[in-house]
Amino acid sequence: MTFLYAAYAATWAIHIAYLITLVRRYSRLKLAVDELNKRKR
Amino acid sequence: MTTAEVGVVFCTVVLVTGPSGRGRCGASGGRGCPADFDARAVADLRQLSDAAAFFDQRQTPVLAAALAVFGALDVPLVYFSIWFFRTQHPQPVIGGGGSIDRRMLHVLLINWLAFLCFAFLVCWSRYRLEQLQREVEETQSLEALLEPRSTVR
Repeated sequence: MTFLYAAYAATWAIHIAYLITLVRRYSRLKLAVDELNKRKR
Repeated sequence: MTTAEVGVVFCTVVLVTGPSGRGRCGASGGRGCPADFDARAVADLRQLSDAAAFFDQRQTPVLAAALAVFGALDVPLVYFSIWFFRTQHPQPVIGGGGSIDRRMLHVLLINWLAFLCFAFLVCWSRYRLEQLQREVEETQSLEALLEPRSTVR
C-alpha cells in the first residue's frame, strides 16, 4: 500500500510541477504583452 | 511540439510510478526492484528521450519531423515489448486472455478517461501558449525592425 501512495504522490507532484511551469510561462508572456501594449501607447 | 512536451511529462510519470507499483525490493528477494529496468521501461525511456529531443528542435524542422516519425514508430515497440521480451515485467492483464477483475477494469477505464481529458486540456493550453508566444515574438521583431527607421527620420 505504501508503494501505491508513493506512486499517487509522484503522479500528483509531477503534474503539479508541470502546471506550475505552464502558469509561470503564461505570466511571463502576459508581462511581455503588457510591455508591448505600453509601447504602442 | 506541444504534445511532445506533454508526452515527456506523462512518460516521466510512467517511469517514476511503474517501478514503485511493481516494487518491493527487499520483501520479494530483489524481484521487481526499481533499479532492474526491464524491456518496457527501457522502451519507455527511449520514447521519453525522443520526445525530449524533439521539443529542443524548434530551429530545425526537418530533424524535428524525423524525430517525430522515429518516436511514433517507437510506440508499438513500447506496447509489444512485454510480449517480445520475457522479463520480470508482469504479463498483460487486459486483452489476450488477461485476468483483470471486472470492477478493477471499470476503475481503470474511468481513470484512463480522466487522464485522457487531462492530457487534452494540458495539450490545448500548451498549444495556446505556443501560439501566443509566437505572436508576441513576431510583434517584437516587427517593432525592432521599425524602430531604427523612426529614429532616422
